[in-house]
Amino acid sequence: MALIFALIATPSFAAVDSACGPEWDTLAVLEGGRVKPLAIHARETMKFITGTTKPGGITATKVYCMISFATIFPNLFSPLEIVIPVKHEDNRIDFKLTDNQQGIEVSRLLPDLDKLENIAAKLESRDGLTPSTKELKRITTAARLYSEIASGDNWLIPTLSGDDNVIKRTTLREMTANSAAPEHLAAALWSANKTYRTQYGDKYLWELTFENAHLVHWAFLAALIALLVALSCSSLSHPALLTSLLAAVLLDTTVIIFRIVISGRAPMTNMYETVLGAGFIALVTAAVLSKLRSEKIFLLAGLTINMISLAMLLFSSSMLDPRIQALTPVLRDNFWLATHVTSVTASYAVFALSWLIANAYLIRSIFFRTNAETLRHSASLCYDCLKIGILFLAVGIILGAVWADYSWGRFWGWDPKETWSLITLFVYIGILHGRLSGWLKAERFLPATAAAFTSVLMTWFGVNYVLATGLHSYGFSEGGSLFLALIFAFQFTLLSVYAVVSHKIFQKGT
Amino acid sequence: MRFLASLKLAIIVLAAMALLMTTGTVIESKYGADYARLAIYNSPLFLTVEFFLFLNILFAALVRLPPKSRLAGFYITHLGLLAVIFGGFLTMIYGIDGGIELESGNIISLARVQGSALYLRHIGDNELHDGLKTTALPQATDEVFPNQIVKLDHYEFVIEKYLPRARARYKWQASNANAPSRYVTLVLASAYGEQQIELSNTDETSDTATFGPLEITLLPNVKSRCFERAALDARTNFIFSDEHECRLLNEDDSANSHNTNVKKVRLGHSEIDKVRIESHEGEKIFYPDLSTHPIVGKYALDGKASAQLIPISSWNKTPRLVLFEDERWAYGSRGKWTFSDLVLDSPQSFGPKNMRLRFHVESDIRNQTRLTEWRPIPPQKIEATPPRAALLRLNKGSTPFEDDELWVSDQERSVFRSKTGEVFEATLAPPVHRLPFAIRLDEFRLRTDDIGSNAPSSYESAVTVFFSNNAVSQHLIAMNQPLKIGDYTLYQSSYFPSSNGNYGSILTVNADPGRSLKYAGSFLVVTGSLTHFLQRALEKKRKATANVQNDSQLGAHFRTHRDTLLCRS
Repeated sequence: MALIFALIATPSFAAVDSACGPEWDTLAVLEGGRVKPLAIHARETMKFITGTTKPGGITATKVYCMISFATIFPNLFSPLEIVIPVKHEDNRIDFKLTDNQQGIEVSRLLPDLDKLENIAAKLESRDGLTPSTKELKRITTAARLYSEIASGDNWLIPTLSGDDNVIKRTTLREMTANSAAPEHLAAALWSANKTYRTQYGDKYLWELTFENAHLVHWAFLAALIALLVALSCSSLSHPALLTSLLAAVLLDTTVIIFRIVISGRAPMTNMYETVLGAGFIALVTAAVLSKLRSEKIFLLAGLTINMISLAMLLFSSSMLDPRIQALTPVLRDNFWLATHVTSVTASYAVFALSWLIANAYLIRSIFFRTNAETLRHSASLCYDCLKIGILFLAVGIILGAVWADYSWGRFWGWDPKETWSLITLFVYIGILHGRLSGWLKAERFLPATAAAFTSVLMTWFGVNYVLATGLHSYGFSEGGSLFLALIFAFQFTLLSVYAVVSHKIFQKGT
Repeated sequence: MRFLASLKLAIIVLAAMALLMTTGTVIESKYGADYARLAIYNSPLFLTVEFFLFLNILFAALVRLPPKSRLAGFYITHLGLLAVIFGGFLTMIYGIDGGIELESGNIISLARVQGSALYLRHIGDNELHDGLKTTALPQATDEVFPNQIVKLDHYEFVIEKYLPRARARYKWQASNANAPSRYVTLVLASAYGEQQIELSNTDETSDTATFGPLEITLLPNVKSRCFERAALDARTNFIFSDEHECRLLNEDDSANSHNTNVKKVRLGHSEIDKVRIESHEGEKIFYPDLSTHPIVGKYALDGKASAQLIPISSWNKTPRLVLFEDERWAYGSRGKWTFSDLVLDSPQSFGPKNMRLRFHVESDIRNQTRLTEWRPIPPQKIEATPPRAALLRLNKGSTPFEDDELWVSDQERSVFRSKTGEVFEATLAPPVHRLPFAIRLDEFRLRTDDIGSNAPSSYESAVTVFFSNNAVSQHLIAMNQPLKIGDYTLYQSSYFPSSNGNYGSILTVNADPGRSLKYAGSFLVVTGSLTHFLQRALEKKRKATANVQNDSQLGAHFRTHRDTLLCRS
């Protein structure tokens, strides 16, 4: 992405190679309370600073390592020029960037970084967090992170304290103190790593295996193949369908199990994991439902939801942060995390199935001919989903309330996430009662079901991405709210078109 | 009755609640949780809708009596819902949700709860009166006129106005009080920045301020000449000054003189001086380490008395700027004092050259009374919590006050003096709930054992609980590990840096009479809906097996046929 990269030839290129080679990926580092492979930490930091995990086509580990080594051994290594992307027009003008410059070189920022941070803080207190100020803050944070990497303070090496083998952290800078040459420093790093591995094993390397396997890509591909096979087969027990379905489910399961093993907790702690979980649950529930009711449309819906969720994980990393991080103290309770969050996520997944089935009917009735039988049938399928979804959501809300009562002493506190989950429950219960009362006959029940999913999206994403930004108009341009706005716009356009079209059908009928 | 039990009412009520809650979350994101709670969730409108929800569920169940086994799931679910709503109602009315801030060693048996209350205290002539009256103020989102009557001893006040959000405005009035008043506004500047400082002689706390390590003192009743004499004499320990005299007390004579007496008394863990002085106005008692003002009654300081005692020997230890009654000022550091005239508006330099310390007097107002008025302000963005204020008026029982508008706020202690010398003190603060036990923090432990990160991984409080029957027990309260004492449950909620450099612990105290109902109700809701859906599913299956046995054969055949055409695997 945005990057100008100049790797200047160094007098002892051999030393560079020996210092930051590919095997350095496996070195253990500490970050945010977790031990992880250097490659992962380097990719995360480089992604933050330069916007890409492979700046200038060189691996993140090498770049990360070179930044540190170039500062420690300035005679042996030439400094790398790292470019922080600048996109906002105001900032581009302020930094005097020409059109072919993607961003600003860190070396230009570092001398005046304090001043720049002050300016950003002043701008924020004066005008609030406008998009240009937000980017400026991000740029200064990136430059600060760079200078931390350069000084060696960001590179935290897990070392063992003498007697009881308790892990403590040593920064690269501390380790540099008695290293005269890069070879010595490298030797010290590897020896510390060996000591750590003898005591605590290689478990941290799972994260590297997981990252390098790109399992989410494979899971997405498997879901796509299964969907194509399902579209072409009408038999649910066809071996090709069963095989591709099994592959998709197994790959999802593997991703989840990897994350459980790596983080050591229930995989339901952030937006990334709930989207992953919802995709998985939607697929499994859909498979079970389609088996029970011998109904392929469930399976199609489940595979589509699964694919959408995996696509979101793959393509919107700015909205869904894939990093595995340490948890805040109050969430450190695996029982409640596993039950409460899973139950709520399951309800989202099942509601997503009903949303897709309802919309499929709406689209069919707008663009193709439908009949009363299809209408009645789609409504009955959605109704099944709604019942399951409501049960999961009610259980999830209750478990959440009991957890809150147990940890904070309040059953209910009108926190926005709580309130929105209750709104969602009321919306769906309202639809259920509407169907019973006869107010919502099938031709209204389906659009209502489709519309109701917007309340799920509000609870799931809107509370974090729209309400949390305080509804500022300029907060709206960001990933999360833009995504929501697009879906809402699509949904309400579809509903309005359906309203017009179905009205015509109704008039023709009479 | 029919309508109350109808599905249509259910839909209307559910839609209304969903709409109100949506509004609530939007308001919350703009003006904060407290405002949203008052404006929506605890508002009469919302409670009315909730009441209709309750009625609707109740009647929906009642009209479906006598019981039919087919509706078992329905009855259980709706009974559960009634229990949850009623439990929530009990919590709202009788529940207690408070906070305790504990510093290591303190014993506390009061929990702060939500809302605000008026604390009104009557201070007698020469003795601290025990009469303290706490009156809860209405939970309002905007300016209200409660006209509540507050009786204290023989006096009666009316709360005329309560402003949950307010901004202060000063107004000046010619003073007719016995003691001349003085308000000084200084602007202090150093190499690092400027600060505006307000000093006044109107009560015993507002005559001192700090600016970095520098202390600034307004000596309202002390003339510079008196101070100068003492400053030149290194043996002086204390300066006593009032309208009649200026007396210097030395180490030698202070202990044995017949009209002065200095002794050490214990205060907590430290020893402080207690000075008794026989003056023209009678005996005065000072604790000069705490204040230059004499005490009245047992504990209260008398900021209005002309008598002041300055512990000059301990003042010599820190740099200090002093403003005197006679429009002169002095700067002292390590016992060296310089004296100058006070000039309005022109900057005056003092202190070490490299610090570039200077100040100027922005205003020096004398013999005027400053009255603070409060005005309501619109709801604010979440970040700032605006001050609250209330307006009192004396109804009967006392001679009139200097001003008949008596403003109270949560920003300061207001002091009202009647023309005949009665003194009342008032402030707004959160109401407190007295617990049937007392609690002491023995140790607060903050753990950051996530290596490579300084973020706390857990925190916990070791506490001792004292009961009225002299029983004592020790417990540990941690995240996800609350402590139950009788009806009360204590939770670890947060922590704060305390004055002694350690951390203090913030606990949540909670008593919830609706808890068991809500738990039982929740259980019923889940069991009921499960039962309901299972019953429906079984019913459907019975019907399906009866009807559709024959005509699915052809369809199945057709599907298999299409499969062989499309999936060539």
